[in-house]
Amino acid sequence: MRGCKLSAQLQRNIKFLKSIFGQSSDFYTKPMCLSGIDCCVALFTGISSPEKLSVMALDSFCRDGVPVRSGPALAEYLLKESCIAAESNPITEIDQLVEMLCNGMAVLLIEGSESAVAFSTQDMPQRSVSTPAGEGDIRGPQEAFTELLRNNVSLIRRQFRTSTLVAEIHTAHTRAGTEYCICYDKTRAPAETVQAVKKKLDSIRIPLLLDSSYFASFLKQDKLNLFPAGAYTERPATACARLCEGKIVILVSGSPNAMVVPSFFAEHFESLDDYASGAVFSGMIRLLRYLAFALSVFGPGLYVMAVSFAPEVIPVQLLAKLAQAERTTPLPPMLEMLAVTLLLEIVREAGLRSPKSISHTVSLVGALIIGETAVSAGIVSIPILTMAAAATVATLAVPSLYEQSILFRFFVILLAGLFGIPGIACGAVVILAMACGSEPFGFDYLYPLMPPGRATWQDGFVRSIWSQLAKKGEVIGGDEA
Amino acid sequence: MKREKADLFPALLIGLMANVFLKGQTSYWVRPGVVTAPLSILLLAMVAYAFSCCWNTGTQGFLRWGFAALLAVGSALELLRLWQLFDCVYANSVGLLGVCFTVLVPVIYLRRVSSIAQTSNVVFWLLVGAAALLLVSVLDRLRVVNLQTVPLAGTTLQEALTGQLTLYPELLLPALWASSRSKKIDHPARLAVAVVGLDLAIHLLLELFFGAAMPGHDNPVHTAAQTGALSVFNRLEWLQLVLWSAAVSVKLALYLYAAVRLVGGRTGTTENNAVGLDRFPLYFVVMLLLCVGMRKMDLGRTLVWHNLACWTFAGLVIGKGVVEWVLSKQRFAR
Repeated sequence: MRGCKLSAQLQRNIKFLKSIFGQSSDFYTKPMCLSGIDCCVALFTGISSPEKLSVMALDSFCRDGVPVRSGPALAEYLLKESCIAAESNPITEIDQLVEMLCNGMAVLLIEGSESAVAFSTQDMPQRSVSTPAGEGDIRGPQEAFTELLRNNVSLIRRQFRTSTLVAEIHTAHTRAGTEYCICYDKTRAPAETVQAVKKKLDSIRIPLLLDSSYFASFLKQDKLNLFPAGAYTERPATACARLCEGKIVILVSGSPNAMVVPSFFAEHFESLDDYASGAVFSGMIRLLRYLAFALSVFGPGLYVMAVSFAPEVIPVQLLAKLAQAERTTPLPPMLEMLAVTLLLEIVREAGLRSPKSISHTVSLVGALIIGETAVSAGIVSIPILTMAAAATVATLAVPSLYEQSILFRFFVILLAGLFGIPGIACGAVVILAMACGSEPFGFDYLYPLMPPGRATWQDGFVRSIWSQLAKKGEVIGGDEA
Repeated sequence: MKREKADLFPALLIGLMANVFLKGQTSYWVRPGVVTAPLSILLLAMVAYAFSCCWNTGTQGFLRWGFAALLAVGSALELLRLWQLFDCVYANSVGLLGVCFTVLVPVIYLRRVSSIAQTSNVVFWLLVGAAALLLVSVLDRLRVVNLQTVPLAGTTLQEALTGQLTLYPELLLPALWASSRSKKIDHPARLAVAVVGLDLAIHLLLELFFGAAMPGHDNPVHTAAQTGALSVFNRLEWLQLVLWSAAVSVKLALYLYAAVRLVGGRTGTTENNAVGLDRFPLYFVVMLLLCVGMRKMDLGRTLVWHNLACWTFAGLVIGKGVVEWVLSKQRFAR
């Protein structure tokens, strides 16, 4: 089908379209006669509106008439002379015709012409712009991306009002021919990074593309590395901030999540509120987030290590209480901690996947009743439950690293329970090596945290005041330029 | 922000730090040590420089395999040393297999040069922080009067010189990196200063801490760490152990990278992909076998033999290089 030209015979074109779309009940064709020339309108009713077509073109034809007498002349007239808002390029190939129809366009096929004319009559059902569900911020813009790609691009363009913003739409190599858009600021994004991203995305072959995160695995350099290849946002404001830093935003049709590449470790600890609050407060909050991440990953493991192998690190009074609590439970600390952490994850998953009306009940039953009865029955000890719950809550302070936190936590608990201090060391080095080994498009994943420098304290572990930040806007690859 | 060239100098420094921290650091008194330090630095730097020059003139297969064998044995010795330390502190809590597993697993993630370089950067700063913490925690126990006024006699000077003149493989490794060719003298000199300076600093700290009782301790740095009473916790030793373990992992990753370069090759298409994943099963098996085979040996004596082997190997490479240079001059004269 690729490269096949449209026929000059209208019936042949209609027959062809019916042969591929005829079984679909939403496929609509309407033969008509314009100034004695046989024509046919084709469209999909769910995504394209016949009313719009009437308003845009058909009314005008009926009212004013068409001053030509042949098919090719009609196509030429509609494309170049008429004031009817048809698409400026003619459709000459079959695959082009199919693509236009699938994109929600109405197409006018004309007898005697090898070109068809498309009208932009898309009318797709869509969700209106709402507030972000997974990215909580108090200040700043409160609108989120939706599923419609063009809307998302317009949301970015509305906030990033410069001529330097580039939004390139491509079609992914999937069964569904899903569109994706690469947005970047051409004066800020390093050209070689843009080229590398385009090349990489173009080389991807997957059967289905439902979210920008499907690209992530392909962008990873080391497949064993658990740190994400990109950051995700559902806020156009955050996407604009990243564009200002010279990063690239990837939007996928049908997904309300934009992927930002290259992404760095420190980005997971930043939020829009950091820049709206005072520098001292946001610095403290940012440090708390790092602490929360460390607690969520290492807290349970350190507890197991301390109780099982190195009780000397625990103050005597606390040690006595822990020993008392542990004496009553049948399982060793490692298994106990693993069981409680697993149970908490099951409760979370059940609360997330169950219908909204019963999700609160699930959480309540899981967290309160099971937890309470398990402690009362002496199956798990209170300190273990407290530590596991603290780690779970701490995980939520850095939601974008949720998957990593959970996986690392299990890994560290296992190692600490089996090997003690060497186990903790192993877990720490593996996680550190993963972070250090990530090299998104040649950039340091730990920038600006490591190696320590001025940027570390400017917008890394903490952030400096706006007058300092504004002096030298952070742009990736800026130092090389 | 962009990674262009990975600098392995921090990794080499960490290797040296691990050597100095984990070996018996009570081989000499500080006073003669200060006197012999310049000579030791000069000698080590010259040997490392000469090795670097001669290695680059072209080396044969047996020398490459010899160097790789030295690195393999050195890796096994590091593992055994760490195992002994853990066994000494937490008796029977973790076996040799456990130590091998926990130290070698991170090496999988340190198979790329940039990964080794960046991880060593972080571990280096953490080690510096931990050393500072250790120092602060034992500060009130450091006594200037503990410094020994031993005579600067031949025996004491010889002891100090012998203690300082350990030819660690890290001093020879820069010869392998292509990037070091342009600054040959720079790297060996900096590394020699670092190793002797660090050794002297540890000896000074221990002498200030233990005084005349210093030579009687098996793990003096660890004993000092145990006495630290900073914070609400009574001991900080676990933190030191975690970091030393991390340092050994980085060191072993560096050795593995060097060994792969020596014995044939990289499986990756670029320099950065130094060690292919397919090599790790073999690496683990070799390390385990070496550790099992050497675990009954007297570690102190084995380390001395390993040091001697390093000197002999360096001598061999330098000698070969000199002979080749003389022959080439003669050929040129004809």
